[in-house]
Amino acid sequence: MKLFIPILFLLAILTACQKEDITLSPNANDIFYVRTNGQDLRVNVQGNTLSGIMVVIVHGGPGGWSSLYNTPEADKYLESNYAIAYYDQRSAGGSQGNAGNLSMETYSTDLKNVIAVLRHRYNNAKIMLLSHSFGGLLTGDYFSRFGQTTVSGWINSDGALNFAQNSEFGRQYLISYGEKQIALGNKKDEWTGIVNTCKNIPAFSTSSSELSTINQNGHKVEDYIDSITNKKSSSNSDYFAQQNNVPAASLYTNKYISEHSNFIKNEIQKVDVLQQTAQLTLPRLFIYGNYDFVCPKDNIKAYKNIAVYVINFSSFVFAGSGHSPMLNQPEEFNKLVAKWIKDNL
Amino acid sequence: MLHTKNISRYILLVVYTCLFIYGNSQTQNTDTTIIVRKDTMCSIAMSYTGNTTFIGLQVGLYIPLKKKLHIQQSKQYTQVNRVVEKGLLINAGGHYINNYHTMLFLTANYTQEWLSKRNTHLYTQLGIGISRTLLDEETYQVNPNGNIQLVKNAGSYYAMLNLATGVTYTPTKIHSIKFFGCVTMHTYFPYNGFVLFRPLLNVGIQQRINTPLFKTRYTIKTKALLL
Repeated sequence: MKLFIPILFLLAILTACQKEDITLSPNANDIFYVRTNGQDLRVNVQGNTLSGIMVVIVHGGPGGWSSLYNTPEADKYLESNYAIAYYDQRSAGGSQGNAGNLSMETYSTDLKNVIAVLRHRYNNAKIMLLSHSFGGLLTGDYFSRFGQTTVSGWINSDGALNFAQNSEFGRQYLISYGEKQIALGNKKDEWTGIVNTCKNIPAFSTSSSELSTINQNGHKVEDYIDSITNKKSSSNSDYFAQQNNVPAASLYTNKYISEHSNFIKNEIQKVDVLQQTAQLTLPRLFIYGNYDFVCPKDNIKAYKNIAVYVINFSSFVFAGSGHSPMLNQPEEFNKLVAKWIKDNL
Repeated sequence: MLHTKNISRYILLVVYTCLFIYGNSQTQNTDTTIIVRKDTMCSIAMSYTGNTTFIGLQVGLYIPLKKKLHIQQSKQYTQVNRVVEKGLLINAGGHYINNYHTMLFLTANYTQEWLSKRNTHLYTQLGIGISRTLLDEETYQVNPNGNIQLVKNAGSYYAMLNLATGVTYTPTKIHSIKFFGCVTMHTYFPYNGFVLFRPLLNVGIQQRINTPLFKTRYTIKTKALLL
């Protein structure tokens, strides 16, 4: 019995020995961590690592998780052709450690380090960033800080680039669409409440509570719209935990920390990377859901109006989607992304 | 001179004396039996500690600190109604989550067990400790100069605070061992500037040191406590 504790420690250390386990195959499934600013970010690379093309998922949130995008359709259309890096941001998903305060700078530095490690591990693979929601803001901030030299393309799905402007788009869309629904008699009481709430919020508000109200209502109204197909909850944590061996307690704790951070309360409202991303010259595809009230399709127009190089910029609006086209219309979404990557690399 | 108001104190003293002299393992009144251990031996404990999604083991040393008898008195008799045993449990162990991490921990727990009239007893634990995670996969770090290196034994240290509650079971004929099962809440901090909660199931066995498994004798001294 006296030997049990040393044996246990020895076993743990031996099983935790760090050796590179890099798979170059058409069907890879590697998990590793990237240590950055007090946090060990979890990265799961799946798919065809022989392709030399790595699509990095920059998930939403803050506090979401990347494997939410790992749908069967992503396996079928993306992973069969390219490698997909599902990385969890700090205080999110399967990342762990003691991160300290969250900030846009640390989020962007993390992304930079993840890209560096991916290129190091996978023979300088070409990097395509596929961002969603907050991931769009983060990717835009990454470009504005570190440039576009290490990235070959950007797919921005339902992302915000100017937080305050995006919230205003959401508020206006909720009011205009809501008024139409009231006139048609669809969910009249529910829409009336939402429209009145939004009208009481001043335009371009920077109040975190008011912006949070717009965001919450944007998610909520998707339940009232029958045209949105395949409504899946973005908080499907059980699925995530089962697929990735991340304890649900860790997942929820990360989510709670991110959603109640000072970053959410004080910093995110001020982030505006629209002007900087308008200078990008790399291929870009902006995808939005027609019924996205959280990050409305008006973002496309706002970007297009000031984009310097529009020749390799394209956009698409999914008619039956809300804030998450990769879940609402997964077949169409992944087909479109796979084709766009093929055409632009 | 014996005052009436002091009678209760004397009764208590007699009861303690009886227990001390006779070294009762059990006390019994007309219809109930309470197990009171004769001695205060240290025990070693081994248990499964994990939950439905991951597994772990822990071993511990239990050191009894104090045993308190709760005595009920009436005109006819005095009986030991409840025995509360307090002790210190030092645990070392870990649990393993595939592709995530191995969590090693060392804890010191203050335990309190309410020995009932049956073989099953309730207990609680409150503990503090330290833990270390070892990430289950390779970990990379990007140096300021841009070079990438592997981090050996990557992981983090956390302080711990634990709370557990459960039951123990002492077989009638084998008093030197005890089975126990409890739900435990491990908390680790600072975890991202906050606290990480991890609920665990803990099921195991405790064996008294230096006590032969089947040779322990317990005597029933029913009348010793009947005044």
